[in-house]
Amino acid sequence: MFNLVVKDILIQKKRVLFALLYIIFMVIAFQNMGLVMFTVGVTACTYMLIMTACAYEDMNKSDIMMNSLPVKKSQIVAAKYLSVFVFFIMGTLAYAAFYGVVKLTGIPLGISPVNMTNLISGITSVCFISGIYLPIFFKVGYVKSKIINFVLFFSVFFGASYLVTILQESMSIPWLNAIIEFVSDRGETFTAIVFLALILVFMFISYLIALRLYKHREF
Amino acid sequence: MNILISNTSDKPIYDQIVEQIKNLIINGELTEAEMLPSIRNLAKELQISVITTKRAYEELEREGYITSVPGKGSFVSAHNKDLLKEARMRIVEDKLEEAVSAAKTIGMSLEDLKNMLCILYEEV
Amino acid sequence: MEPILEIKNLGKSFKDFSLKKINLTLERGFIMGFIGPNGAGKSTTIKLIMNLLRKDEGEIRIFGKDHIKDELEIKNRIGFVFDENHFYEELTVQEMKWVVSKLYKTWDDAAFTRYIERFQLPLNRKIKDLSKGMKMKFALTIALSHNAELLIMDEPTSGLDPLVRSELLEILGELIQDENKAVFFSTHITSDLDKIADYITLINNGEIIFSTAKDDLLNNYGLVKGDKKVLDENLRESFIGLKENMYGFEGLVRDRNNVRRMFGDRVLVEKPSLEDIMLYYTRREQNV
Repeated sequence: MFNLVVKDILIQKKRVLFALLYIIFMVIAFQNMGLVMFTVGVTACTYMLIMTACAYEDMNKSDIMMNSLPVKKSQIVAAKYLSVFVFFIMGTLAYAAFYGVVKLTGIPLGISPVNMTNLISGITSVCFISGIYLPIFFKVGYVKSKIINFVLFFSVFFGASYLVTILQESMSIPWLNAIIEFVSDRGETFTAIVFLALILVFMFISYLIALRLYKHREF
Repeated sequence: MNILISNTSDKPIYDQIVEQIKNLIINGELTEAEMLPSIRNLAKELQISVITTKRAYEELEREGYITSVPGKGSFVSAHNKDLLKEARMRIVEDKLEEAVSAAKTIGMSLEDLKNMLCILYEEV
Repeated sequence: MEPILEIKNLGKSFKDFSLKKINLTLERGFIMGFIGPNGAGKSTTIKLIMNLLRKDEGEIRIFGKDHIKDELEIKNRIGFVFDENHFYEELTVQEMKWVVSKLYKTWDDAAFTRYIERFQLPLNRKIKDLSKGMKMKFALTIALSHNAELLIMDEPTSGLDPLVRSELLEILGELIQDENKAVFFSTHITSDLDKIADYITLINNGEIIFSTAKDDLLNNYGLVKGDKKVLDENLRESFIGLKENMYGFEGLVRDRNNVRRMFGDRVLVEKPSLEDIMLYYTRREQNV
């Protein structure tokens, strides 16, 4: 399965570099975004990488080739989900590197740090997008999923900027407030673990749906 | 060993192979106990079906020209001396028949033909 | 020993086409050509074998095993070549091989190198920059580099020049030296590949017309030509397909020697090509 993840990177080559550089552009373009900068930047970059990987999957009807090889459909699907996390890590590292450069050279740019809150909100938005997108992709392929994907991206793109705000200021909903307070009372690490667990459960359910759809697909 | 296949000929390909291998044996180009190429190898070289070469070898075996030893291959039969002689005599007969009909078309007498044959027999 | 490929009552329906309970059997050590016009059901059949399409009914057994239950094991022992390139075009030959080789249990790197050298495939070139012939050769290289016992090819020579086709012919001849192996390939033009085919299966409109030894076809069938005056009921009935024009007729019969015996010099009887046979069978379908 590892080789299928590497394939998702190899397939894009120059675009990987482009996507990573895109983070710099995002940071510069969204100077007034404050804390959400990391989430938006890294999500955009990861999203771009996932989309390109999926696009190339469709280009030569490679599903025909992949499904003629001795590889389980569950591995093909799982590899894509794994790629999402790998892309996120790549994006994060690129962001961190840029952050380092900015701080060391003293370039007058506002850049939010890579902290726990940022990482959590970043992975949440990445998983949210791909958790919804990938089952659709595995059902109909890249070309047909384009429109849905477009809508999805913009809703999440703008939604992401509210995500952190909502999480931090949603005091108006009492039960949500109670949960947030309960969780945050136990410290940042606990909050992080709860969040990660929720994300993983979400991704796992998404994976099961995607696999089911992929198993029923014909090529 | 030469085998030429004609795809346009009306004669089945296996038949062409049988004919040509027979001739090779009769002419002595393939000698007793000599190993023939395998069915699969011959098919590959001639770019024809394995079924075709298999059938040709079966035919040759049936007629006693070759023997197949399972796992070893096919060999030119050792017990076909008389068969060979007979076959060769048939060739002589065929050629003589040809000569006779050629002689007849130009009205050559049997006497003249015999004389010619005697002279040729001495000379060759 | 059980057949290497066995299809029983295989059916699959689409909106505008259906495969009607087809049957065919291929034994080890032989090459089968799967011929028929475009849209006859060749690709559908091959996709069903590879489980790329889900069958509606019937059974497919490869190496004596169920093609779905033992899918992974079967695919380890199959080499495939499709009519177009389905490899990732952005990858180089070397990279694509790396991805694929990890998936086969019996990958043979030495064999891969041998074919790469033989076909002179540039390892560092992207697949999209290979010519059509080279793409096919690359697919063939992958197909032959994991000790596959069964080679399945869907129109492997479509759009390729005669030189590449003859190279493929040579490779298949070498492959079949091993009598445990078998080749199943489809084609809509009866190409040079048919030369080495042992069996020919003709499919038309989702139905198998015949599946038989090629020699039986070529040694028995006949192309009969002659004056329309000769064309009595008796002769008419023996035709599989018949074409009439202003100057005479031409038709295909199952037993050319019989026609020769019956009509002697009054008709011209020739050995047909596979193309003739395919055309007459499929045209008859249209006429009816």
